[in-house]
Amino acid sequence: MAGTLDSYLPLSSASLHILLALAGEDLHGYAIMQEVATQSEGIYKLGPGTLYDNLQKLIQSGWVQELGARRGDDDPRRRYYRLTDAGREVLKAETTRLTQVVREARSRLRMPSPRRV
Amino acid sequence: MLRCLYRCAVRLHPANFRQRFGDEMLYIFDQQKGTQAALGVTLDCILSLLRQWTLRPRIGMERPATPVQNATADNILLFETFDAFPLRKSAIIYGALLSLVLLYITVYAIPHSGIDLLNLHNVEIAINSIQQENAQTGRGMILLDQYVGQYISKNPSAKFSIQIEGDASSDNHLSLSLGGAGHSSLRLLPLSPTKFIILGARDSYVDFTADAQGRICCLSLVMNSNAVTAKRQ
Repeated sequence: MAGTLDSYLPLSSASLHILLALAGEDLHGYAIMQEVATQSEGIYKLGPGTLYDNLQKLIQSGWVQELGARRGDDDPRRRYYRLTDAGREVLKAETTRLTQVVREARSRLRMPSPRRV
Repeated sequence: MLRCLYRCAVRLHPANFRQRFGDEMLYIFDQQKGTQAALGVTLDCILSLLRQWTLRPRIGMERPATPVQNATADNILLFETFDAFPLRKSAIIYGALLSLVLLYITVYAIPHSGIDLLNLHNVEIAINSIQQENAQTGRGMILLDQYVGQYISKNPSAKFSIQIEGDASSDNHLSLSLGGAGHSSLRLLPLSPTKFIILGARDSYVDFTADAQGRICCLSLVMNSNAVTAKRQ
């Protein structure tokens, strides 16, 4: 499985942030945009075009599932999205890859590892 | 106004994308507070539009029901072709319309580009500097004098006059009068010792010819591909 997952890595920034946003709970598009902005402390902001362009790819890949609208929601236009098991595995693989990158970078730059609190 | 533009951009997305995400995209626009945020969202939507039509032409198109076999029983490889993804009629129509619009814009833009005027302006600047230099050294009048005179054409019957106009100290130049001296004149700008373009007339120039002694003996006036040759009197 790991061998097949590696072929999808590295993920684009937008895909990574979307998967990360959906890792906690099911969200609608606008909530994904807000969650991404919160995660990145406002540095990375997704526009709707970029969001849905990437969501389309992620749904096509089977990493995100479209749930449709929820009854009694504030706005009937909202559709919710869920991270699938395959998407979670890809996110884990990307996180592992990024961890290795950070470790390598710290080693080369001779930076101390962050202390665990 | 901005919402209208945004809605147009959403509508121009490929049908499968628009039907799936169009309403949500409008919802997101409605959540934006302030013109700047709405403008950012609109620009992102326009970029997405370009991306969808150029980089994602096949997303959303279903694969054929019969799977393509990659290898036969004899282990001879078969290759998948683009036949599995036939072009949609709407894509062909959009492409044709876009091509026509681009062609129209290009054809319209060429005569209005100002490139001719720019070149002519540059030639004029260069000539003016040469003329100023000649005036300072006293060579200007001597060079231009050799072209001055009356030129007669028999077929068709016409009379041309070449004269020097302008301030002799700085802006002296040759001019061409159709119908002899006293008529309205056209300013000539030299391209070479024998070739002068007519200022303000496209594709028009005067070509002087010298005899064995180096004296200018006739001219050819070319206007819009029609040439008239006239002998000097």
